Amino acid sequence: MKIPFSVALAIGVGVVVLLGYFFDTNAAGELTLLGLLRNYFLEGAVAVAGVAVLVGVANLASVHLKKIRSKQNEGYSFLLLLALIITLGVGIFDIIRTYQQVEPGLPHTLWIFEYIQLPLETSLMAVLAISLTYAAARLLGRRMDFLSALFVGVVLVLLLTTLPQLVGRITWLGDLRTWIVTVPAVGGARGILLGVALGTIATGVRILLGGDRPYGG
Amino acid sequence: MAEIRCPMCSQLNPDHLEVCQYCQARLKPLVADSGQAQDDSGLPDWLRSLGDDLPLDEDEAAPLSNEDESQDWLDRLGSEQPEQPENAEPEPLAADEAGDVDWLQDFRALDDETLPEISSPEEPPDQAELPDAVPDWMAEAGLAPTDDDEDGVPDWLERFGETPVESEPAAPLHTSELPDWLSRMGAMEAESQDSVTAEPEDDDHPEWLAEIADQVSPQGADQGLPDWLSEIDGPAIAAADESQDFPEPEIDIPDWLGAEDSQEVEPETAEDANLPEWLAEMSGFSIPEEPAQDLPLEDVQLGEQESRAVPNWLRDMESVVEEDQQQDLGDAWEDYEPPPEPEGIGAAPFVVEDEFSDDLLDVNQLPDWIAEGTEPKDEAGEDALAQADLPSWVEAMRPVDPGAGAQVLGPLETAGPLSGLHSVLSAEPEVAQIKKPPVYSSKLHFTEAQQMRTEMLETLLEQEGRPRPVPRPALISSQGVLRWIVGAVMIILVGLVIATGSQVAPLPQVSTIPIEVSQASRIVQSLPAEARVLIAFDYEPGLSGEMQFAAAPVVNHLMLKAARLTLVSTSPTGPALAEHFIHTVQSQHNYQSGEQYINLGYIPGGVTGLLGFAEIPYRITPISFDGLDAWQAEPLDGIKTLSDFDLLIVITDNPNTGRAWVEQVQPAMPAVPLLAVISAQAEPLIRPYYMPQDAQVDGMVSGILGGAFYERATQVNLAPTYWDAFNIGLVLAVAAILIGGVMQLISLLLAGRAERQGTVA
Repeated sequence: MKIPFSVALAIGVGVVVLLGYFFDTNAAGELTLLGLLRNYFLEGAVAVAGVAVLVGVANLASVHLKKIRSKQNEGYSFLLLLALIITLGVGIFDIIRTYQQVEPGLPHTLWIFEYIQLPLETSLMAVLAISLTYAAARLLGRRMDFLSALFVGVVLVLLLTTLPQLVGRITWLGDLRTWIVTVPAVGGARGILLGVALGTIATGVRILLGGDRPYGG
Repeated sequence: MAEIRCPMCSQLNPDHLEVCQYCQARLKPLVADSGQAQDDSGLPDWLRSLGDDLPLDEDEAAPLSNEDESQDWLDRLGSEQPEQPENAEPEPLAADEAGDVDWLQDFRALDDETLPEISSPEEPPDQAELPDAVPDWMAEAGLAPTDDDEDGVPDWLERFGETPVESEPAAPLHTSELPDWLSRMGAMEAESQDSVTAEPEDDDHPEWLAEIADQVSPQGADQGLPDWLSEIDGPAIAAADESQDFPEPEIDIPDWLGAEDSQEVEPETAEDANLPEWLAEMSGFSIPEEPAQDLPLEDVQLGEQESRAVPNWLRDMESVVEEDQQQDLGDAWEDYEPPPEPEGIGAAPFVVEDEFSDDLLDVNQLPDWIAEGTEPKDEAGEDALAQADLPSWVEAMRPVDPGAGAQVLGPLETAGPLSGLHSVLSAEPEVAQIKKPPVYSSKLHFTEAQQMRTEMLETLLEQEGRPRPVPRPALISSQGVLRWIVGAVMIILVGLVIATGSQVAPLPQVSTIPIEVSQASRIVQSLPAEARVLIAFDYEPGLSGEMQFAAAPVVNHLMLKAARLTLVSTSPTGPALAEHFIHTVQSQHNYQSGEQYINLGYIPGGVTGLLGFAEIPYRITPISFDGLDAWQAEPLDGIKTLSDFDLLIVITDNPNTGRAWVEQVQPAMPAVPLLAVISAQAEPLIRPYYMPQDAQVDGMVSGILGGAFYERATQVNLAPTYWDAFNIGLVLAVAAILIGGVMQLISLLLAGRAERQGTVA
């Protein structure tokens, strides 16, 4: 029976890491072979993941470059590539200067981040807050049912109980908030976490048994 | 009008008919032309001479049944023959027949005048009138009457006239042994069942012939004999013996008509020994006692030897005929003109026409041995002959006629390859009928309705592949205006609060501080000085406003404790955020990289990276964010594994990231407390790790409110800068939701009332 090499490699490494998780040290506390193999495989995975980030950046650049050539929304793609090139250039410059111990800390890169990226993302999140408020205000007009009303009520309670002035004067609002947060919310969260855990275990077993091959084997 | 009696069914038919109108039997037998030269009278010489010479014995004559039957058979023969002069000399015979008829000529040589008229049977001829002269041939043969003969007739000739003749059972004579002339006599058809004998109508055949018929084996009749002989033998044989197993017939045949093989036939008496040779050859022939059936005299051909003999039957016939009306045989013979012979048949000495239909010599009644040698009739002739009554066993052997009507035939097929057959499966008209196949046009014909539907389907299919144009929204719409209003209001009010730096909103009370916040503060408070704290900055830049306000009191508390911080992140922007947090939010503490804190940078691989960092942190992050050897720096002095840290703080807005840190890293540092500084949206998913008794999360600070609580717990006042704006924002949000909800409800109610009013109207 012909088994692809990638499948065999994936299954073998997965089994070693799993067994190394349980048998990484001996009774004396020394690292076992499985532990060593596991550490080796983990170090390699981290390195591969770092390279994958660079590959992703390159792919992104190629896609937008194709869009520029095909003249399909080429303005945004040009700005993106321009920003990429500038940031990459600045970062490389800062790395060289850091390793030369001339100006460590990557100041220029942090400047771009602090004054361009951080304000932009923060502003987008603030607009999201206004949008969510407007959507909550029109929710009852779009779909008037029990669940919608319940949702809107819970939102109002939580928002109102966030105000310390109101909670100090209306104590049961604080208890209500505590109950909402600790009982229904946590219960739902536990259920989600259990489902996620079981799905993770099933997926792991499928990969170890070769039933699922996300790596394309 | 003259009538003819059918020889088969005995029904009277008009004489002009050829076949019987009842049974379709032939009334008038076919007469074949004879190639043989004959006299103008039609009779052979020997027969003619017999009529002149043979004496008539009154006693030997067989009684006739009626006057019609008493007609001289010879007269009948003579009436059919063309008239010739009385004294016309016979035509000279052929050379080969010259010798054959010598003996007949001897008869002819006798003076006709010397013969008396043939008297009636009741009047025996006067012996004195008989010519004294005896033919020379008879004298030579020793056949002349002797003195012992009382009546002057030789004994041998008397034996011819003996009827019935009690003959000893002679040796069985096969039909193949009979003379040809006797066999040919059997070919004559029976045209009438009328008998010249005195027997009843049902049995009007001569006795001697009947006896012969009884003694003849029926098998002989089936052995290739003509039908007329077979039919003659049928009734007689059936009456005699209905069994199919017939013994070998023993025919009493006079010696002079005996078998050709003279060895088979022994002379019966001593007188037979004196018979001439030609008579001896004919020995073994005996006339049966029972009368035989009428035998037609047609198609009787006399052979060479047979023409010399005078058989007993011939003598008997003469005696029978002369009973009623005696005619001048000589004249009758001379006047006799044989009928014309039918085609394909030889000279027939006896041609039986209508007058001879009831003749004694009915050929159909002849036994089998007589019928031997008779040529079979043609098929056409057989169909024209009358059918005699056959015995049952003969009838049983007759081939079954499918058209006899015994079976009911089914419908007749008239089409297809099976046409003409009955009871076949009727073919489909389309199959049986051979017709030209219809020509179908290759052009597709369809109606207008079909065409319309086709076009409709084609349009739908074309539209399916075409993207639908998105309707452009209106530049100014109510929804857009409302959105702008809400946004503007919120931005303006919050901005004013921030700009003015007001601190109107009170901080939460200490009694209302959650327990997880209190624990967190106690853990941090219990840290020793210059504790090694690992902090994970895993939040997004967009939520940095909330996260910085929530993490600031905690980090500030640590910095107040002179803790050595190790910063790490699993997000690509985490190291940058960490650097910003340390240099902006906690700038008052003036932490320096490599001295008070170390930024290990980004850990790729997500969960795998965290597991690797938990197992081999020095291999996963060997170099800091600013390029320094991290594990040789001051903050990480004495740190080999994560369990060497004093505290782990996870600052994240993503619950999965927080879960990953809890599940992957915390098991590697079980004795190290873990604090979670999380966003308000991640609190529900992280709280389960805090709730249990042996929780993996020892403290939790959730959002801006948690930060405010932590500041109240540590009595650090960092939150007021953002506290009033936070409170104003919450109030505006609540107000917007309430106002919007109320407005939507009112509009729905109004719309419902309008619909009800419209419906009623």
